[in-house]
Amino acid sequence: MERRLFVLQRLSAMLLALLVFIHLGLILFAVRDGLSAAEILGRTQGNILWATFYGLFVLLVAIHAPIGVRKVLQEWTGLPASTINSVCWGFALLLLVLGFRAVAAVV
Amino acid sequence: MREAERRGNLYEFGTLSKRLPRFARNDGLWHKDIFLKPIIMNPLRNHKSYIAAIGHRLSGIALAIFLPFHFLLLGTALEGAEGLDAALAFTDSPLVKIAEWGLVMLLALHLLFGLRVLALEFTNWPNHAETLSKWVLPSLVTSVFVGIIFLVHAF
Repeated sequence: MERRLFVLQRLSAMLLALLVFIHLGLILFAVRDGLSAAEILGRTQGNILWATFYGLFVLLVAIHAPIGVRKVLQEWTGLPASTINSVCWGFALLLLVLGFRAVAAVV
Repeated sequence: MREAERRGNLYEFGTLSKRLPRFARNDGLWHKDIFLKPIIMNPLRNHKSYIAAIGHRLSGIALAIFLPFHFLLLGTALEGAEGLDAALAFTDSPLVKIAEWGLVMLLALHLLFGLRVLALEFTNWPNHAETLSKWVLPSLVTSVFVGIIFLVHAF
C-alpha cells in the first residue's frame, strides 16, 4: 500500500511538473490584461485541448495532493491511521468532484 | 534514534531508500531544538536541504488548502459568464491579489523543490545530495522572480 502510494505520488509529480509549468506560464500571460470571464471562457470553451489539459490536471492533482497531505498528517499529527486515510479519501473525492465541475463549467 | 536514521538513510521507503554519504549523516545534534522536525527527510547537516524539505512541504499544504476554493470559483462559470465575472470581481480586491501572488510563488516553489526531490530519488550521480543543495537558492530566487512578474501584471 505505502509503496503503491509512493509510486503514484512520484508518477503524478512527473506529469504535474510539466502541467504546472504550462499553468504558471499561462497565469503570467493571462493576468497581463486582468482576468475576465470573457477572456477565460473565450480561451477554454469548446476547446478540446484545454479540456483534456485541465481534465488531466484535476485527475493528477486529486491523486497527488491527498497522498501528500496524508504523509504530512501521518508525520506531524498523532491522528489514528484510519482517520487520516478517511480524511484523505474525502479530500481526494472533494478535489475530483469540484475539479471536474470546474472543468465542465469552463469548457 | 530511529533505525533508518542510525543507518544514515535519507528516506524510509524500503528498497527505494538512498544512503547518504558519511559527511551528510545525521549527527544527532539537529532535531533537539528544531520546531518542525523533518521526518520525511531525516535531519541533515546540510541546512539548504532542510529549507527545501520544509519549503516543499509547507507550500504543498498551502496549495492543497487553496485548491477547493480555486475550483469553486471556476465552477461559478456554470451560471454563465455573469456568474464567473461576479466571482472574479472578488479577486479584484488588493488583499486577494496579494494572496494570489503568494500562491503563485508557492506553486513555483513547490514545482522547483519537487523537481529536486525527483532528481534526488531517481538519479544517482556522485554526491548528488550535495550537488542538489545548490538547487535550493536558485529555486527561491526564481519563485520570487515569478512572483514579481505576477505582481507587475496583476496591478
